[in-house]
Amino acid sequence: MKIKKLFQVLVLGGTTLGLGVAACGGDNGTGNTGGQQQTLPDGGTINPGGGGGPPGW
Amino acid sequence: MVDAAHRHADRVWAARHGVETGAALRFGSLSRRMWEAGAPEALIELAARASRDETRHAGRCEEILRARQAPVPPPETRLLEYAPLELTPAERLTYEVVAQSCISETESMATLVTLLDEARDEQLKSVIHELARDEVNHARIGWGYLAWARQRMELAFLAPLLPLMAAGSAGPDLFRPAPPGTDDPALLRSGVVPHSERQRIYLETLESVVIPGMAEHGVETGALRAWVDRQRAACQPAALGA
Repeated sequence: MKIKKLFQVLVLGGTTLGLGVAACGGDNGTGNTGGQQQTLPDGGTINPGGGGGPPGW
Repeated sequence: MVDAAHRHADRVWAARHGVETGAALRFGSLSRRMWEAGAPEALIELAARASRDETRHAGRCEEILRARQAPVPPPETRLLEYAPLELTPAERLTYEVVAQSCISETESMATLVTLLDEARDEQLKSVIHELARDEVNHARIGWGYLAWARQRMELAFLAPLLPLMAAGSAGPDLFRPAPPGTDDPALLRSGVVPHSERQRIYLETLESVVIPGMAEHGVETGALRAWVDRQRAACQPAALGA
């Protein structure tokens, strides 16, 4: 696959996902987080606050 | 493959193990935060699934490290976030989703596509194919979230921050001269893209996918284009095929 093809696959494919379905979540103040499986960090949350981004492959 | 290149491949796979375990934590957090924000169910579920995918991917990296008789590093246990603290909560969530999916996962897809074309070893090919299949959806989460978010908030704050995201995802060494052993074409057979090719792929993906994607969602891309131009100027022209 050529890299340019990724625009169609990722950007346009993702955009369809974002626009094509109704929203379902929302904080209702009950502490319900939608029953999503969570992976909890045991080393805490780190945010130096200076921007940046996660490394990739 | 000479020793320096072999050791480099070991280090890359060890780093990928950390990337995957860290991404598992981040996608778990992003799924919960997107639910709280009222995002579409499909995106929330994809992020939760991505968290599980990344844990499985870390296992694949571990298998490859063991096959190479290389040490397996401990998993990332910290939830790393990157958004500037002065942003609003909604902006910080958007920043994290964009940095993770629109930048990092989109770039990872370009790397995986390149490796898939080059892989010869059946086990390696199978692993890369499995990861690429999953990473498509991991990248789509970000582009889908942007499509949803732009109807609810102003995304102009992202424009000056995109270079920070791109630089963070690239890491501190990508646009420096290649250290010994990191630009050997034989690395491709170990599932590693040689240094100069990584530079080329990274910039091409920003130009061909990320920048048009941001423009598609109304985010101004001048700052990111300027960053790309600076990185290209810093690289040897021959290495980029310019």
